[in-house]
Order: sequence, then C-alpha cells, then structure tokens
Amino acid sequence: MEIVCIGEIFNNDVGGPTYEAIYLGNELKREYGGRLTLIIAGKDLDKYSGKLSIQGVDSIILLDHPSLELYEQVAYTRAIAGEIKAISPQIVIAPYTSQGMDLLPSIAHEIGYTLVTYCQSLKFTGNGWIATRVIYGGKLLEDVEVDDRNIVATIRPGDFPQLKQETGSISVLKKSPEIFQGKIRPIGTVKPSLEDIDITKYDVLVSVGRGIGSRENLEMADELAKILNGALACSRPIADMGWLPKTRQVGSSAKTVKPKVYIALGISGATNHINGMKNSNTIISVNKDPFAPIFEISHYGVVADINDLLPLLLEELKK
Amino acid sequence: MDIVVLVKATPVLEEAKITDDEKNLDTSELKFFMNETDTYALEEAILKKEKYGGRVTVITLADSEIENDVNDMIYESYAKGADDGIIIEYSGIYMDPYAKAKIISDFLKTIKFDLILLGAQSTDTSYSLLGQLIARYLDLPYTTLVSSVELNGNKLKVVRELEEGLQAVYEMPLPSLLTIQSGINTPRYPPFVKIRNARSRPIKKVSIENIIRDPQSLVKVKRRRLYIPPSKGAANILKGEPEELAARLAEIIKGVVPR
Repeated sequence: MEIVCIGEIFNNDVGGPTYEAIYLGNELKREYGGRLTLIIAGKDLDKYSGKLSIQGVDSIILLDHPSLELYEQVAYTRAIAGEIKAISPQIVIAPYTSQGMDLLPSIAHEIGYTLVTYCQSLKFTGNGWIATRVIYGGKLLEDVEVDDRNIVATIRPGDFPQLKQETGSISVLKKSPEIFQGKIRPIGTVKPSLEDIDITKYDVLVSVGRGIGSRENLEMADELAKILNGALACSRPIADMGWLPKTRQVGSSAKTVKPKVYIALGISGATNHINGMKNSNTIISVNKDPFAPIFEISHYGVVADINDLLPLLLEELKK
Repeated sequence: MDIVVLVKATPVLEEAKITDDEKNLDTSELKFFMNETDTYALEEAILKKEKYGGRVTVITLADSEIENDVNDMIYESYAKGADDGIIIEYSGIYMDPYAKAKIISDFLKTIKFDLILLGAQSTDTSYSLLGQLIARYLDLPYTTLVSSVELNGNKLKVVRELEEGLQAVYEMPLPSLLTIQSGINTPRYPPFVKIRNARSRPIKKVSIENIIRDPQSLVKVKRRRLYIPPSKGAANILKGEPEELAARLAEIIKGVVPR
C-alpha cells in the first residue's frame, strides 16, 4: 500500500500533529504493508530534514520555494497535489489543523479522492475504507464507509500519539515546485500581542466553561484558583464571549496543558478541549449533564450545577 | 454587498438515543437550534449589511421531520436582520457533506450573491468540510476559520485563526466563500416581540427533488453505524445534595492539590 502523509511547518518548527499523521501512517503500514512518503511544503526546509527523518518513513519530499513561506491555498494545493498524483497512493493522511482544514479539501478535490475528516481509526476492506469518527461533541461515534480504494483521511490534532523516533537513513528529495498563484494573497502572520500569565506553567488550573452561567461567577472560580495557588483557564465559549482572554483558552487549537490538577467547571468536554488537557495528572470535573464527555477522562466527577456548588465548595475550603 | 448565509439546525443533546437500525439519531424528543458557528456567520453578515447595504439571505438544508424548529430558526434570523429565508427540504434520507454540497451549490447557481458565509464547523456531524466543497463546486476562492472580515474597496481583508493564538492575514476577491470561526463577533439576541412579528413573514421552501433527481446517489461517505462510545468508566461520579457534594469535593481537592 502506498501511503502519503502530509506534514506542516508551524511557527518555524515541524508542527506536532505531523508526527500524529506519521503515527497513523505507520499503523497502516504495519497492518497492510507498503511504503510511507512524507510530503511537506515551505521555505528553507533543509533545516528540518533531521526532525522529519522518523523511523517508519520511507522517503521524504521537501517542496521548497521562497513563495511557499506563507501558506497560500492554491500554491500549496498545486505543489503537493502534483507529488501525490505522481505517487498515486491509496491513502493520504494529514492533520486537520487550521492549515489542514483549508488545504486538504482543496487537495482532495484536485486529485479526485474522497476526503473523510477527523478519522479515529481506519480499516481497508479490499474495495474501500471504513473510518470511525467522533461526532456530536464526543457523545456519539459513527462508522462510515467510502467505496473507493483511494481516500484522503484527516485526523484531529491530539487524537494520536506523536511518533518522533529519529533515524538518519531516509532518502530526502528536495524539489523546487512550479508556483501557481491563486486569487488569495497572503499578507502576513500576526502573533498575539497580549501580555498575560502562561497557564502551561501552573500546577493547578481551575478551568471554566459555558456551564459557569454568568460572568459574575468567574470571580468565584478565580477565588478557587487563588486558594489553590493555581490559575484560571477556560474552554472556547468563554474566550469567544470575551469573558477571559484567548491566552487562557485550553484546547488542541489553543493551549495544551498538563498540570498536576485540572478542575473543569461546567465544561462539557468537546474533543478539541479534551485533547488540550487529557494528560493532566488528576482531572476533577463538575457538570450538571451526567452524560458530559468530560467525565470519561476525569478521575473524579461531580454531577451538579456550578452555581449551587461553587459557593459551598469555597466555604468548605476556607474552613 | 449581497450575502448568503448557510445555516444548519443542530440538536441540543444530553442523553443520545439511536434508532433501531443503528444508523440515525432518534430526533423525536430533541430540540434543534441554529448551529453555534452559523450564528456567528449570520451576525457577521448582518453587521456587513448594516455597514455596506445589500441583502442577507439565509439558506438551510433540512429534514422536514424537524420543520417547526427549522422554521423558528429562520424567523429568529429575520428578527436579527436577515432579509430572505430559504429552506431546501428533504425527507428521511441520509446525506453526507458531498451530497449536501452538490445540492446547495446547484441551488446557489440560481441566486445572485457577492459573498457566502457559514460556520466553520457543526456541533453535530462535525466534518468541517461543507463550505470548502461548495466553494470548489462553484469554483469560488475560499478561506476557512475566519476571525475577522473587512471590505477594502472591492476586496476583502480576512484574518484566519491559527493554533496557539497566531493569526494569518489574507486579501481575497469577491465573490468568495468564508467559513466563520466562533468569537468573531457577539451574536445579538433579538427581543421576543421581534421574533413574534417575524413569524408573519414568508419562508421560501424548495424541495430537493427540484434541484437534484437522486440525492442519495451523490453520497460518497456512507454511514454504516451510529453508536454511543463504550464507557471507559474513568470517573468516580459523585451525585447527591450540593452541601454533601461540596464537602466531599473539598476533601478530594485537598488530597490532590500540591502544598
């Protein structure tokens, strides 16, 4: 089986989810045999070839061009799709990161493969593929089937381990692709300007979600964090509403944290959030929905409304 | 600037029930509301209309089984500031993003617009794929995960949300398609009386048979089985009276928090 993994450069480094795609590619290689080719596009890629030479990867194609410094959909699509067509793989695996979400539908369309997003497992049936997907915010799973021997499968960052065992003996082919200019013009990348504490440095995080109910209740959560010498963090909806700055948002698309204790208050546990905190030592969750997915990865769970519980908890801790 | 907003009614789900054939969600007791990121897309369209003029058309593809909730979703969109509402109706068939994208893009060929907006992901089937496919079928430029849109002359300046707080800025032509990330704005809540008044306004209904003869044949990703994830039984779940729970939780916290 010919397997292609598409990696990415993020913030002047190899993006972590690239190693998850390689992990899944290796699982398929073990099951069905074959070759794994890693393709990556960007500028000045030579410096990453060591970090990309991972055991299990059979060859690496670096699509290197000054015009590929900033991600632009059409240039990236044409460059990468050209290489994929030459290999004609049965499966293309890529992380559905912010870049992947933009790029992979375009590549799949260009090469005429069906794309299945957020695959958790993949099985080849001989005539097609079966994938398992997590849906409804983690409350349901679905097995889907594509009746085609060729597919593009994308994965959610944080769903798989990162395969990072480096080895020296992989053939690296560097190419300067022809650049096709699209109608979308990249202008630049902006870094967050906000000065804030770094939540990844704290032993205790008190993290609030939609279930906190009102902005006023944030004060109580903050008081809890202070009592425990921790910091206040949040899930996406709280940052979206502007109740806390983006720098406090936990999730695989925001900040990945690993504190000693993670206390989740009113967080249901969307996969993105869970992938950003599931490796915490102890996870304690409070949610009024007994079916909230966060309980599945928690060590202790309390079914209660934050509004009722939090004042009582603060009283108890102050005793 | 005439803007089409594609929206989807998604259910509020606590305990999921699956139909006997293990293929679908039992929706009989569920309430459906506009998908979260779509509410941001709609708000962005209304903000742009208020600034630059033009019309906002809300379009949804929906199963007639949930007709009442879908109608309510359109009425609420009217109350917020949408001008037209169109429901493309089907009944009891499974459609993947490929079938949906083909139907919606074929329908959009009959409509005049400068910009298409939709949420970057849905809370139900979570493909994050529909908008990209529609753009490809209509041969339009697209950008995903948009966290800011500005009109500069006849071009758009859009900002995409990347990981770890980084953002990328692009210039895009019109017409084009953007998938909108939550947090781009603060969706308004229309007063109840406005929603009630909106109920007298017409909703255009189109049957998918009038767009595509055999929608099922467009499905590329077939669902074989839908099921509840096997519980890993990880958490020690505490239930009871708040006073008792607070005391027990305090003990647990004291036991694990480093001093």
